[in-house]
Amino acid sequence: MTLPDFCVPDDPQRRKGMLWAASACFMSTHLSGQATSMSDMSSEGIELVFPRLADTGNAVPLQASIRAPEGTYIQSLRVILPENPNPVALQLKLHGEPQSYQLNTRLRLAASQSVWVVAAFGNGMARANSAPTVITSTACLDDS
Amino acid sequence: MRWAAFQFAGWAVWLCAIPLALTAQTASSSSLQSGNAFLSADLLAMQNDATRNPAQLWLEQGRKLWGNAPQKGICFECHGQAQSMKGVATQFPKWSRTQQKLINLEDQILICTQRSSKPLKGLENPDVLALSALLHDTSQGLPFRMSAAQGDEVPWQDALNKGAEQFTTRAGRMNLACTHCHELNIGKQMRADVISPAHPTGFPIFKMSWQSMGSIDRRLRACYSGVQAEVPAPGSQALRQLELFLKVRAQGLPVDGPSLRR
Amino acid sequence: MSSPILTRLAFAGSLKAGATVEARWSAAHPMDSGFRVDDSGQKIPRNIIHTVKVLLNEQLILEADLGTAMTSPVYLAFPVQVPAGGGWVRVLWMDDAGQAGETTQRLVV
Repeated sequence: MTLPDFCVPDDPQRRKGMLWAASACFMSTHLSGQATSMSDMSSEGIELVFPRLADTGNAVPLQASIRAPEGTYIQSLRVILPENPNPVALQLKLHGEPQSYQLNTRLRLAASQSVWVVAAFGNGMARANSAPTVITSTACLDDS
Repeated sequence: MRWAAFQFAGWAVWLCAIPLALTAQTASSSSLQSGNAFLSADLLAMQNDATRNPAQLWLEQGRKLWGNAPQKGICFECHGQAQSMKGVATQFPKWSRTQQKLINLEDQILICTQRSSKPLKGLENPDVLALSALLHDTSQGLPFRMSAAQGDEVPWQDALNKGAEQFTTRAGRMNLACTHCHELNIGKQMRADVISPAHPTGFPIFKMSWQSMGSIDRRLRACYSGVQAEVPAPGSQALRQLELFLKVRAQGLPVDGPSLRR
Repeated sequence: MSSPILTRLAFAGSLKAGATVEARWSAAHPMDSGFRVDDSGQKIPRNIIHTVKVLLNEQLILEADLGTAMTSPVYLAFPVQVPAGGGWVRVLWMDDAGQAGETTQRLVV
């Protein structure tokens, strides 16, 4: 099994089961300086508020609260949507060496998926957490 | 006396034009609710928070465009403070004698700006929508006041009748009339949408699916595409007639736009 | 939407020296992802705000790289520590078409 097979499964049923590992693995190899996959990282100190059922895929609100481990600070944050055509939604470089941070934003989701927030700290550590959502669809075709 | 007769004729035609509504258990008057009542908790919270509500951007642009000092070529020069336009948004669409057709608020804004230093084009022009947002915001809380000016009762009534007719006529591949959803199935869900009675108190709207502000003209066109009917061109009289009918039908409800919608 | 792009910067929280408020920034940028197709079938070129920089009293506090998953209008809320004596928060943005803008708001203690 090659990497493309692993990351772009044809069978939709297999896709469901493989999705987490595949996307996390695929993404982590494209994030600079990250050898560990997102799903392997500790999620401690990262709290996400993300609707379980999204009103609309056009604007899904995300709140990410991050607390740095003892003795270090938050250096950068990344928001990743593995199912989106461009999965890296947002990258933040924080100045001032904050030990805690709260980010609020709105994201466009191409499909139901989990959002991942990866935090990198001053001591070289990284943590990640995710939250799933299901996009509800509208009934009417809008050609306006 | 003549006017009263016309009014009676108008209401009689209207009542006759909605036989389905009369036979329905829930009369339309009990569903006299703003679209805000059908928003999800999340969207309602976003709407009520000025720091998070996207419509605020257009509202502030509207205030900026209007101006607040007597400067040549801006709205303030002729109209004074935006507050003085309180109630204006409750009266559209109006019958225009000069143009011999119904015009709505966005049409009027376009007409007015031709006289200003910044003539605007297009009903969905962001500046037109910004000014519409401002004017609706200024009239918030005031009820719709649809009426014909003296001498214009006949064409106004005719337009209203045409609007009523559209509301009750099946259209599109889905072969649905507006009444099927907006009178007979209020509160029911169509996938994730909850059907409202379609009272147009909240315009202009920031619709999430548009990711932009839009006018009632645009929203009504979306309704036509929703039932897979031929969509009238923007600015068509058919859309103005329907708008007039919807606002007459909503009489009693206050203006509460600009709003957020799915 | 043609220029200029409407932006808004507001603060939520108590504006006291040393307190942390939430700065809420939004920009009515079309944020065209490059995936949309217009009525004639032509692809609408990508044009999004790709970089945002936030300065507090002229000191850089935040640098953000935005992708196509950011909504239109863009909404970004981040913490700002209110300096003693207040100051200015400046949000600078740049888009793919080369357009740039700035939103400034005063922090009054």
